[in-house]
Amino acid sequence: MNGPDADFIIIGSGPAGVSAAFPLIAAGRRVLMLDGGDDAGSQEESRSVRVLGSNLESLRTDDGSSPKLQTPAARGILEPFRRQSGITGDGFIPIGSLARGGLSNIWGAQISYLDAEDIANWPIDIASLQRSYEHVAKRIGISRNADVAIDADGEPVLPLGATAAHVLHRHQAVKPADGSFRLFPAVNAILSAARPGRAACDLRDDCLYGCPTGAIYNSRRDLLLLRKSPHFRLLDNMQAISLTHSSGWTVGTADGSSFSAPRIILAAGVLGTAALLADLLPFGEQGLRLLNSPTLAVPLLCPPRLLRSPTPTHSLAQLGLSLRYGSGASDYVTGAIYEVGTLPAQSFINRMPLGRKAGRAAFELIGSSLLVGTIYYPGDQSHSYIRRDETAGKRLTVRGGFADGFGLRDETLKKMLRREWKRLGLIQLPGASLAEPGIDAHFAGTLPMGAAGPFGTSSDGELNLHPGLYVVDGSILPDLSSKYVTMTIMANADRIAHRLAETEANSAL
Amino acid sequence: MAPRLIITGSTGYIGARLVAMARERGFDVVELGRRLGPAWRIGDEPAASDLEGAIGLVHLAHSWATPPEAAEEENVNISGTLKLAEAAKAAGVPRFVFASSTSSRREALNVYGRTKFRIEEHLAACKAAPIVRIARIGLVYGGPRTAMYGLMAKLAALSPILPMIGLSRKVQPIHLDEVAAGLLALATGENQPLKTFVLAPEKPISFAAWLRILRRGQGKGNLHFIPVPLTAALLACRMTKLLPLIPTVDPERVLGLAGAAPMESSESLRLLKLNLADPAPTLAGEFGQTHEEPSRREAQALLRYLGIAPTEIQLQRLCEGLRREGLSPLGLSPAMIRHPGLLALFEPPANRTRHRLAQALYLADLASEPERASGKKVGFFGAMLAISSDVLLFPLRVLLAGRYR
Repeated sequence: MNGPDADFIIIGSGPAGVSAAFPLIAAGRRVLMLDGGDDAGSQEESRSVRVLGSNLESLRTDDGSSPKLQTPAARGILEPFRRQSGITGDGFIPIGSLARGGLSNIWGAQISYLDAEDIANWPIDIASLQRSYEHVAKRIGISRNADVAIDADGEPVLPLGATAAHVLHRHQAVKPADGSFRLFPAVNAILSAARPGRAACDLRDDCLYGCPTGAIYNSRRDLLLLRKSPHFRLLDNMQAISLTHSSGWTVGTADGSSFSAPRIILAAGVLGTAALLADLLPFGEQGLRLLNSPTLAVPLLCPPRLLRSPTPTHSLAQLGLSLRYGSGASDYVTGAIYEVGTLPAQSFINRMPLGRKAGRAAFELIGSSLLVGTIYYPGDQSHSYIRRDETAGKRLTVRGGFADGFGLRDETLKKMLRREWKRLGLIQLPGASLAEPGIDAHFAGTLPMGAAGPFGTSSDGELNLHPGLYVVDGSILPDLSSKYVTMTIMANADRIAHRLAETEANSAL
Repeated sequence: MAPRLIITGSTGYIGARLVAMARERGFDVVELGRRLGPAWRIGDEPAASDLEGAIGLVHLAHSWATPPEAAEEENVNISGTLKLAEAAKAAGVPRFVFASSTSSRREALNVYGRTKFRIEEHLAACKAAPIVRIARIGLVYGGPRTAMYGLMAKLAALSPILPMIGLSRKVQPIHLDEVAAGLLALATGENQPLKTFVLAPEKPISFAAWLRILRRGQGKGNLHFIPVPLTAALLACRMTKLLPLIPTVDPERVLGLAGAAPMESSESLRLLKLNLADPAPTLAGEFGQTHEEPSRREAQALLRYLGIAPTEIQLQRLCEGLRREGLSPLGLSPAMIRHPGLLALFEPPANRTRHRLAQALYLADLASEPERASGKKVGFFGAMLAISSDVLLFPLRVLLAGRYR
């Protein structure tokens, strides 16, 4: 038996994993990170490879899923997890990633901050979370979209698309009936000025095919910084599959290696972490409650912008919105408005009853006046469980569903939204759809901080009954508001890692 | 002294190829069978002397002359296979490879699939279990046109219109050489981590697409189907029994076509280091046809129709994409190839995603996407013209749409 491989082993190289690594190595702790992916695909590639895939895998018929998930980039990120995680969905699409950088490779990059009211039930205070928000924001680089005509007050800005700007002006001009609806320029993790190793956004609107300039934050790039530290080691293609505890913890990987450390930090994503803990948690009949955000997509038309040309911008969220639908603290939805003119045309043309040539012409004609709104509900509107199938060994099934009475709430909300669209001079087009649970990839709440019992974790993310085993990804957020969750996961991981860096390292004998 | 390999069913479609391949690679092949080598038929107790010293046994023999749902000891396929496996174990043969099928399931529609499944279960529970490897084989094609493959190739070449059952079901075609290589690897490879291997491609295709590939491989044009419900086909089988003067058709065959769900094979292919070929060009090669030139001209026409002056790289991409999707050749007439504008008369709406011409144009659109300059757009009048001509041509297209379906 050799000594431990590190003071901490971090499993996962996504946003949570790297956010936990920085404070630890700054405090001189030895960190070993196990990454299920490798460096492949991070080098500069031609547009052709990004659009069609390195072996033309895109030249196959449109499978009808969202354009975001059809690009070769997205497929490469999601496919290995789908094949190897052993997690199946039942009315749920289990999204996860084994790639380097995890789901940050395909995230929408929207930034939301929780406030004191959002975390009323958490065992932590807002001040510590806010400190961590600042650390993370400084590291990843954030820009607000702004109407170029307005001078911003010193913060980095990216140009707001012309159609989005039009809608925002209209919102400011025509006051809403009450304060329940808010519309504001989106805040995204995109650089508007270059940083070492990352260029500024070139406004080429190719975002869906992967960001060759590195302007959109991706935790893959943080690994380059981390690797400069002598305290940090990263191992490629090490998919962790088991956790065992004797004097310290030992992680077994798919290729048969094992690594041990007094403390393990799980940052494999909510589903990945659940799969790793499958043997340590008493899943039982009911299974593990998983919070996810029911998601609505609404196509909109902005008539005054018909036949106008789009202006250069990125193709991520242009505007953010929120709308209160009830009196409870979390009874509000959060959403974003995208300009469709910047998205790949094919997936729209494939749904038009016109020939391809005419379809493209029509799309180019009205594309710049089309918007898509995506609306996220809070996690308490979902009703999803991760169950363990005893007959199939370690395999997990995620059963997706909606909370009781969700249908009614959804109808009410759609009515309220229609009122707002009308006020903004937008026409809602047919085809609004509720996504299959899981597609949102906003997961949380499986191992809530502050809960008692075998599924709870401490305020530092330490799993009850398993000292030395920490979780820093979305699993430990006690509830899921409708706000974009990635920034909060990163900040919470940063907060926990600061606390762990302060504690004395166990002298492993 | 060459290593010895025992093969049963060596005169069959797969067996003959396996024997040839094993001999080519320097094995001393012993054929257990009715006509060659030691006289043996399935169900017999093999002589220990025939088995001793072999490094592996591949069991392909299957008797069709057995009452379908017979009990275990009555069913010669089951009892005979177990006898053989146990004899091999007793003689110290380290590997016994049983050729099963991707239709092997407890609730398979046809007796064949159910029997294979029962044999697999018994093998797993018998004394010989440690030496048993199961190979579930997909739909085998290529080589001599016999067995099921020969029948399908003939069917596909028969006429451009074919009444058929199970068109949407997925099949997993694998070439005869690949099956033989896989079986050989299983019979001779040391400690394989799996018990059950699937010899089939990872990506299933629909039975309809498969028949089209078979037809085009033989240099024939399109294939149209008249879908036949399974019950009707079974009824027809029963009728053939009643009616004199026409050959009877065994419902077994029909149920085999109605099929089963595809099986996951990626792990097996990786372990056996099998890299499966694309059936379309392989078959085209075997049937002595190549479609390089015509399909290239078609690709050019499709791109030009969309208003793109095709570059070499785009043409290559599109040819590749059309081939993968089984859309090559589309069968565009020479006039179309000379004047791509004529495609406007036949083009279906883009949302008819099952239509072959619509699919081909979608691929053409995608293949030219990487070079598309952002911001370059049709003008307002150009767009209006395109849309209104689309609307005007609509009635004509409805009439002509069937041409490239």
